Amino acid sequence: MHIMEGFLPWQWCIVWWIAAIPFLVMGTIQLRRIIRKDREYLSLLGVCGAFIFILSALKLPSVTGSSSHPTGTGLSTMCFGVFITSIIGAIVLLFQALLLAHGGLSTMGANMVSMAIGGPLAGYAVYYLLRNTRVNIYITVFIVTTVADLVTYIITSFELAIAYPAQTGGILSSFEAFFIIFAVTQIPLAIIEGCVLTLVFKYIVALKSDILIKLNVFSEDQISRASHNEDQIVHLEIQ
Amino acid sequence: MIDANLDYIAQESAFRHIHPGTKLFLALGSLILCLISPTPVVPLISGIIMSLVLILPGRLSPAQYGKILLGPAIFIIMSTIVLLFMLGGGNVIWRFQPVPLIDLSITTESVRISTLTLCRVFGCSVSLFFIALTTPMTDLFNSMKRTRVPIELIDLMMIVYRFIFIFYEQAVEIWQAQVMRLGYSRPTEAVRSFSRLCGMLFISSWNAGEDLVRAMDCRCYNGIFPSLDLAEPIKIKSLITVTIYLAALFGILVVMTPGIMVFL
Repeated sequence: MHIMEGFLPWQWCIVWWIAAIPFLVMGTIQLRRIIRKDREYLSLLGVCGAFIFILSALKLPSVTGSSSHPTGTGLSTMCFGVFITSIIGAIVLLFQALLLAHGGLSTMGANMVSMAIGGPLAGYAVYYLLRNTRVNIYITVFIVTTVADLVTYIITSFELAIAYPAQTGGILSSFEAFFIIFAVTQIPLAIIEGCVLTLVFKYIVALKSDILIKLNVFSEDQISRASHNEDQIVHLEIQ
Repeated sequence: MIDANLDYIAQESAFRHIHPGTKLFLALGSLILCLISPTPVVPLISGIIMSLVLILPGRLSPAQYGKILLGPAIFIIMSTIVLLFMLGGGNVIWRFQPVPLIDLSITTESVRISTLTLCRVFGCSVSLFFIALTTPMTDLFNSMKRTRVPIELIDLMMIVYRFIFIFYEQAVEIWQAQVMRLGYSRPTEAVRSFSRLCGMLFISSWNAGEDLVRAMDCRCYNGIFPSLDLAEPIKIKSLITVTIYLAALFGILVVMTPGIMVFL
């Protein structure tokens, strides 16, 4: 769900670009530091960026009858952090605009603030709070991805509301209107994306858990505990 | 799924060999003029002229172009209807009050803003399409290098771009295999199949990344991807034509905007 080219007045395009630039600068500095430390991260980040692009181009199965696309930023923010995710998100948004005609260049600042910065920031805050607790890692992944998705929609509604305040009730009323329109489809879709990415995480734990240990997403102990629980479930199912 | 990949069309464009700087100057210039225009006339004129340029000398199929425009068109029509009822000001043109709490009205000011937004989206979208349909991504990477965008970002973009098509083919193959095995026949089955697809894609993308590291190390990678810049030199004639067009568009903007002369 991106704001399309030309939909926002130019003053708001500038405001959102200014808001996004510090994150891009910080992301570039962090990217440079990571690459200097370990050269192989560049190619790994590159393929992960391509993965997020493909993820966002695939249609998500929907119970509401409509269809939408996963953002994938929740998974990225847990693996690489907020600043790197903002860089990957910005590249994905640029390619979506130029290869698929989704979003735009003038509205890219606003789309970055919602999808590549705001959503991941909220997701990372939840991840930071839950990662060292006794909460199951799959529940953590579900909450992080759902929150990242929902915050993306909330910020997009806010961006539209302040650009087009309603005659009666102003920004608040306009925000309410935009959010209700999005909520009908986006809340179920955010929950479905949470379920999908939790299952994705489950497959990664089962088949290639060393990726998650290398990226320090969860501790070795947490991952082995999660895969041990899975083994027990499989064992019970076989019995 | 990816329905229309604009980069394939850009590779075949008749404007493919014009210097990317000239094309970016034209597209970004008209995009900015459409964006700042307080009147719908400028984006409307720009959108029509740029569309004609893409179709006639650019030899883009009108059917293909229509299909590309259709995506944003559906979204903007829906958004304009929302704006029409939500915004206010001026005189009421039409009012509908089915129940006491719901009051739907269209005013002169809401019509003005909605029309301006509709035309602005059209003009700006066509400007964006002009870049997307005439300039392949590889030319844009070279232009970014010339404008001193951090090299790490460009390298990252190049890797992302390279792998998008590989993963897309993989995703389509897995998707088709799953559909053939009734993987999307029920909602719960669909969620499970889709998760497996994404999980496999993540793992294979990681493996591809590790293979790429080894391949680059074999070729003495030292942190920079050298690439061949085959851009044609800037032609003065095309640059003058673009400048005249943008100056004319700016002239229309000045004439159509009362009060702008105060700032000039």
